[in-house]
Amino acid sequence: MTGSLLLLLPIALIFVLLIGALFWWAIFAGQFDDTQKGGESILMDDDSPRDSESSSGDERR
Amino acid sequence: MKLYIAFMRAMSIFSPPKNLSDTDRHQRRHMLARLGLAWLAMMQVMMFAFPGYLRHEGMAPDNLELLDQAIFLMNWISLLMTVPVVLYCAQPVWAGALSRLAEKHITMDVPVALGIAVAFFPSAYATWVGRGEVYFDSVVMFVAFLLTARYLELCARQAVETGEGNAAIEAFRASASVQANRVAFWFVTIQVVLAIVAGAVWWFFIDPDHAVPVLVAMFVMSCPCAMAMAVPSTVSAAHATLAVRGPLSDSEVAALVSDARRVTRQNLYGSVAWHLLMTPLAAIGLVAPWVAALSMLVSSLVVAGNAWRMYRQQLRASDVAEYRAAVTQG
Repeated sequence: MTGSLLLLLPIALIFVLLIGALFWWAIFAGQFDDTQKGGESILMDDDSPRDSESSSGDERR
Repeated sequence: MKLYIAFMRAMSIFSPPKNLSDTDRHQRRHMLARLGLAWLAMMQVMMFAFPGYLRHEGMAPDNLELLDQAIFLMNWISLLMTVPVVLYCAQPVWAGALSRLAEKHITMDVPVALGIAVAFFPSAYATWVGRGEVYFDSVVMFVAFLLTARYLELCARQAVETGEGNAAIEAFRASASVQANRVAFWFVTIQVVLAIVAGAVWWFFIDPDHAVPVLVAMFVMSCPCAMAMAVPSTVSAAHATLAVRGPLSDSEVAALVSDARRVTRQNLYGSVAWHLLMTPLAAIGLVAPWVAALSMLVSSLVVAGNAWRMYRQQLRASDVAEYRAAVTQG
């Protein structure tokens, strides 16, 4: 049993370090800096009907 | 317009304000990193602490030997994971405690730092020599829960600072902060003295083996996280109410402030009463350090929840008023 623990515990440790490092990277890459924009974008979307000429310049389409 | 109102109501203190300064943003990122890493380490260390709770002397000798080997390995892994928590995640605690001690001034950082040190160093020693109790799970739980409370407080404070100030609410905040700080100061002072006395009594008269868990539990109990949150959480609830309900008349603002004062008082004295109830239990050794950490988290969350309840009530009151206005006009 001790043998398998000696293998499994370091693997667990490596996974924890990996997850911690990824989390750290995500925070300092700014992924949690604006948690509202994604939710708001669906409300802020301009969905007024318009003819094809004016909508051709719309980047979001 | 309906949609706009719906989206304002979803305003959350957890989304960072857009006009944060660079230092504030950096601080907030670090606080989030500390919080997340502390919770990650907490879950792992709690798992690795589990075999220690299974151990008892009545087991068959060969089972006991096997379990002791597993505990020895898991203690080392726990130590490896606790060291970054103590050094990085708890760094604001150390900085706060040292700077305050230099000014000969006791704040909540001092008992927290003492609690972490008292639980961590004997556990590290026990791991090194391979016998004795370890409290790594209590250390990381304490740090993780404390950071949760502090993160809530930071979010509430940043949401307030960058929001539009209202003179009445600001005046309330200033007076309530003075009151809360005074209560927290006396609370911490008394609790630290009680913790040291209880620890000494256990060490010299009752059971030296049990002195460390009692001391740790008492220090954890003395952490006034809930009290530190009482004012910022209600002030931010009041500001959020203003942001959603729009400009209010003077009498409505006065009602809001008196509501905020009542909720702050509930939070402040409620958390003091809760901690005072738990203290005797901790002193006679009935509260394990991790239970104390859990009770600290619960009291902080109750304080935040109470402020949120006030915000919801205010919104409901405004809904009723709007409905009445619509009915009388229509």
